[in-house]
Amino acid sequence: MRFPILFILISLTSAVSVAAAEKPLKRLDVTPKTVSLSGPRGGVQLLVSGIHANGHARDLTRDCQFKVTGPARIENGYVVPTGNGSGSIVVSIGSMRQTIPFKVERFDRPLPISFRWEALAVLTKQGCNSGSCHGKPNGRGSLELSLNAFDPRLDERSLIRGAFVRFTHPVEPAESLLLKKPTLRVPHGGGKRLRKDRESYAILKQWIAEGCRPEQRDGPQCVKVEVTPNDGRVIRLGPASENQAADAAQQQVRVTAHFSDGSIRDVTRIATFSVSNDSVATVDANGLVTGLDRGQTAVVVRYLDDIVSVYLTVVRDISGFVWVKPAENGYVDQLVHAKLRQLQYLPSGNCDDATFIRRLSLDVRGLLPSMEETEEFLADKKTDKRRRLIDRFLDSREFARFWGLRLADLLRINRETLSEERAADYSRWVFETVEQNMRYDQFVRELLTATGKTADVQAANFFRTTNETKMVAETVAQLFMGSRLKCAQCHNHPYESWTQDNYYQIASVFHGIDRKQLEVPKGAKKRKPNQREVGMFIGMTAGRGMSNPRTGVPQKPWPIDVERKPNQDRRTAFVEWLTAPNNPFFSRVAVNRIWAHLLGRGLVEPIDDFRSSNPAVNVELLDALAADFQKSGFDRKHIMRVILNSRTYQRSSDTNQFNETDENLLSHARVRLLTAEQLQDAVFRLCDGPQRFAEFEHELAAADKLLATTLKENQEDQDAAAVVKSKQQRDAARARLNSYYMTQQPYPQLTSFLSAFGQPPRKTACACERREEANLDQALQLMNSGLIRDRVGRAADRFGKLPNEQFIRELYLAAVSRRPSDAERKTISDYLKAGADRGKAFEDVIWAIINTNEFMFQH
Amino acid sequence: MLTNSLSRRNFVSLSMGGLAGLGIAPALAAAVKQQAANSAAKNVLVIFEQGGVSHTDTWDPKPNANPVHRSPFKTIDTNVPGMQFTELLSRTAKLADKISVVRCMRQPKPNIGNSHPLGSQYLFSGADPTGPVEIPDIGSVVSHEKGTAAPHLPAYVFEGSGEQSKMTRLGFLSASHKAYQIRHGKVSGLKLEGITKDRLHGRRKLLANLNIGLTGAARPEVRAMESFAAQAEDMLTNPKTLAAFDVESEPDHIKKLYHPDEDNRRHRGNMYMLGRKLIESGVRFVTINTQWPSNGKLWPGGGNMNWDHHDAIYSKGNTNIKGGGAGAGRFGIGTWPMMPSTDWAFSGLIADMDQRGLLDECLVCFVTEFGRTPKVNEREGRDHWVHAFSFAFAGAGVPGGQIVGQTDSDGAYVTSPTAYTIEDYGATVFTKLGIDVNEPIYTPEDRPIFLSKGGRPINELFS
Repeated sequence: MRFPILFILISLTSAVSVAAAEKPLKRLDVTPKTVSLSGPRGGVQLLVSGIHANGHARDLTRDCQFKVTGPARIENGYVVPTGNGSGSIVVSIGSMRQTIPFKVERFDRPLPISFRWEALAVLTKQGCNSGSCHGKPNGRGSLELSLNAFDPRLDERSLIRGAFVRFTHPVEPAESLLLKKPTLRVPHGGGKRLRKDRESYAILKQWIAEGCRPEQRDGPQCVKVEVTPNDGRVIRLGPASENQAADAAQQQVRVTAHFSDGSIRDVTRIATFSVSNDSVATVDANGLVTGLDRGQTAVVVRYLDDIVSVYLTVVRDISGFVWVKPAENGYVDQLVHAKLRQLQYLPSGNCDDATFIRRLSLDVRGLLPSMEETEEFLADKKTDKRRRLIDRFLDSREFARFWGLRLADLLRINRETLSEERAADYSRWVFETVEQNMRYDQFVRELLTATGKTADVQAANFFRTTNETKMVAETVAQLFMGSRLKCAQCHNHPYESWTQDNYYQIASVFHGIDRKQLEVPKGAKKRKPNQREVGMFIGMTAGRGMSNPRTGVPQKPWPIDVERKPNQDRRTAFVEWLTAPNNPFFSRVAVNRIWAHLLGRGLVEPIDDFRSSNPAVNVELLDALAADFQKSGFDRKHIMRVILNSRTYQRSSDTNQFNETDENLLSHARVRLLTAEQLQDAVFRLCDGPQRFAEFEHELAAADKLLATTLKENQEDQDAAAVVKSKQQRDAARARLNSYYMTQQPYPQLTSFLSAFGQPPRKTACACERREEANLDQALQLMNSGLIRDRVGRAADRFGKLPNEQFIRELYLAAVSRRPSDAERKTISDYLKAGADRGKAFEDVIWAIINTNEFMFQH
Repeated sequence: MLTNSLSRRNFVSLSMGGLAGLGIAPALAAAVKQQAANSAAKNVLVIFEQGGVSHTDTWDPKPNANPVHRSPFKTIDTNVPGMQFTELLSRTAKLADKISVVRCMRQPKPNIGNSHPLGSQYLFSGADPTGPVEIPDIGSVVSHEKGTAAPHLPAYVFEGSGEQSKMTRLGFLSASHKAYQIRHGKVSGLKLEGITKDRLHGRRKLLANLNIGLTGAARPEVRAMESFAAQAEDMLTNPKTLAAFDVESEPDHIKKLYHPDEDNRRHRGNMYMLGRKLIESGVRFVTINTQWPSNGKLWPGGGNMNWDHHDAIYSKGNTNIKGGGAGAGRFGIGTWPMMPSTDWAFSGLIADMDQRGLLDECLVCFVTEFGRTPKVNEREGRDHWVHAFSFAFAGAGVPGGQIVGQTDSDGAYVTSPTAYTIEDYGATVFTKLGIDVNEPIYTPEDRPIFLSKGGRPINELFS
């Protein structure tokens, strides 16, 4: 897995308008500089780049002329030998030229096909072993292959000996089913996959003719796959015409494989290519990328189970676009603006104060701002008022509770697996770590290395909600490494570099976790705790490595290159590796989660699916945030502060002519439905008024205090009636508070209202459990649920006594944090006057406000 | 017959590769076309009788079984020569020419054979529920693939008064495809509560005037919500919505088809009739998972009247016996809340659907998790049996008067050359609806998921 280094593109564009014509060519750049070909099937892809005076590089592989002297021929820049000897290739365009010497050896020597590195590569390239064809478990028809050839020995068995040896026919290779099916000489469910005149057919045929030789067990291994050009290459499209189609521009990609015997092979023609964003560019089977529209994409290159991605940017001049430098506040804005400028989107302006306080309050505290807070903020004339509001909200208890809820989601805190008591204690610990702003590396260390009784060491409950080794490994990988490792349990991950061995190496770290059920204490207690309440003892035994079931080889715990003493807790070295500054995942995944919570979408999306084939929309920004996070001592609040104070966060959701088509480059704010808990709380807060919650808080504080006093007074008899009674009072007060705001409690009950709006059931560690898309059930809930009906009734109590004018003003301040417009005032007061039943008319108005987009959506 | 001579592998190749480009033999093409024409279902009604219905007491009579273990219910002829049921299906026997009975169902999955929750989920999804990805119910997939045919109704309705109704799964599909669950036919959420239709329209008008702060014009996510709101308003105010659930409004002569006239004998018939009404109203996929409601006065001791007859299966009353346990709370299979009400309701359903022409395009499936042991245990009960049991099908091109497969003289094992699995059942339903099980659907993470993975449509149901 790889991440490109920080690469700022501002330097590429110097003028105010990027619409300047290309400068003349300055020089040619050809890769490689010399070509050496070995054996009859050698071939090398040349890359020809023209470097312009302004530094722009442009692919000329298809545009230049090649003149070959010597035993080779060339087509589309791909050099193929025709005999032994040496010669040269002259590359020219206009008056520029460069000469590339080449030599060919062993052309006349037989070179048997490598089953693994050639035949299986061909099958992978043709899609034969993909997850929807023969690569699915049990294969298709009678041919079963391993997914993307991750298990060559299985493939060997299937192809050579499978189906009563019908697939291959060495005496008459062309009659092999392996060739007849994909060429449709006999019917084939997968359609036409091979053409007789292609090299891929020739490779398979030769392999069969050579007697279907299996791979030598100790033959050379592929150790590295290299792709040229590197990240950051820009494809420049010609200007768009009326009907929008811009002149296509292309980029050839070249792939080389490095083997353990030191040999390097050009595998461009047998590697597999795809793009992550096919509206931006496409790629053909020979690695030729064609830019279609401005944007960014990864070109994903697969050679067997090695995956390497390069990130390309496609730009196009937008007519009339002029970059006007917007105000910036720190590196977030600089990096966002660099990207917008390069891709020619103009950011929207700053959002107004009313929008800001509502947005900030929902994102940071989960709750709508109160009417008083809003009025005070709107009236504040000082220029630093947004910064101060950010600090105030970040320091509130509501913030810690709301972000505690989000962590509790991912940690799957629930009453069923844990008991009520254990869930409460565990989530209180989570809340405290947020409130104290514990260093994130420390939080993760405490969580993952927790040892002790779950009643005493709260973090140890992590190993109860994840109750077996594989589940721990998958959860840790998803939460802290942003990897959906689960796929690698049964086969190498299809889209990234994690192998099945890696899966069991990570699992081996947690293989020795001992979960000892503690005994319910004997004695004459009036109320005995049950087994779940007593909890477990979480310990670590020396443990053995977990075996990969495919190979039966026990795996060393990850990281595998660290020496561990036999009795050492394996988790320590793992956490050290995880939280080390150079860990490519930890900080990036953490800041990406914060970013997604605040901006509504991760820089990497899905937020827990980090892999080279799924690039961040702004790689430089993600890197910079991660670096800042490390420098700050893994300070989550610091990163939030940086983001919240940026212009990027504070942008309006209104679009302009030059950014209305932008979906993810952050040129305008993203409109999104309130989350389930936010929406229910918004309805409660609007209809009941904000003071209700404060009353519950006071009640709980008083009950806590009373309990403490009675406990002190009855030290010798903890079961005294007074203690029992004040405990009951405390529990009742806690229950009242807890059942009120959903954003303010760690494990809200699952209700039909909340689940319609995407409340996660906490069965997995996947952030995707929280569903975000609109659906019919939501509309039905808003229109016809008991919850809305009840609250609307109460709201009429809250507002009903106010005179019309004041009612309308307060309603808008409370619901959408702004004053009503004249039109809105008139509509509502007309409606109130027209209605015969004033109480009902009030309800109608409140219902209507709850159902406005402005209320339901974060904007 | 052509279809039968056409091996499945060839069939799959043909249907996937496309017919035009292949230049295949015309005979084969015709056969494929015929099977396509038999994929006639527009919607599906699943009657799920939960708990494991004893096959040897119902669809698969064994008059020559060991007398110690033999069912006390007589074997009777149906209106199709050679096709026999037990007398517990005497009403259905008169309509045997409309249905196919598949007697060679098997469910030999480890861990699932003893689990009613997993066994139920297995049937709901038509796929092994213990795999790495949570598989959505067949109904949810159908909603996803085919959409709704009646916008004022949910695409997938699930009558869920049965014990395992919580095992429905949405899996990785979006929330719009979730099973709309009702209990005892009582509509929740679709009936306007505490507000009149006019007032709702009035509110929506007021909303239209106030919904100006954030418009959906350039914001697709806002527009989506607005269109769902319009659909919700239609659902809540369209008289057809509630009418589709209103079994009471049916005329008496129709009601009589499903159940006797007495108040306390109507439940199962009403639920089956609800199924027909929902299908007729355009719901894509309906599951009726019901069981007789417990009522201490009428059915004393019948606390959980599903088909899990571990104890005293032939009791004339409840199954609560000394030394029993797992099978307590049921009623004997021959008592009204069990087979007699089922026979009446099922025969009524088939007759009613037939006379309305609904069987042309609706596939009706009568299913259960597994069968029951051919041997009677020491508590006079029968335990779970996964090696052979029966399903019944009708409509959507399913041939009538057909027995598929065969079991031995005790009903213990399948003796016919082919046996079918739950995956095969799933594949049958999908194929009848024209959904190709050889093409995967994809999870949000792009993982291909094969519907009813490994299943093959039950060939004999495609005449």
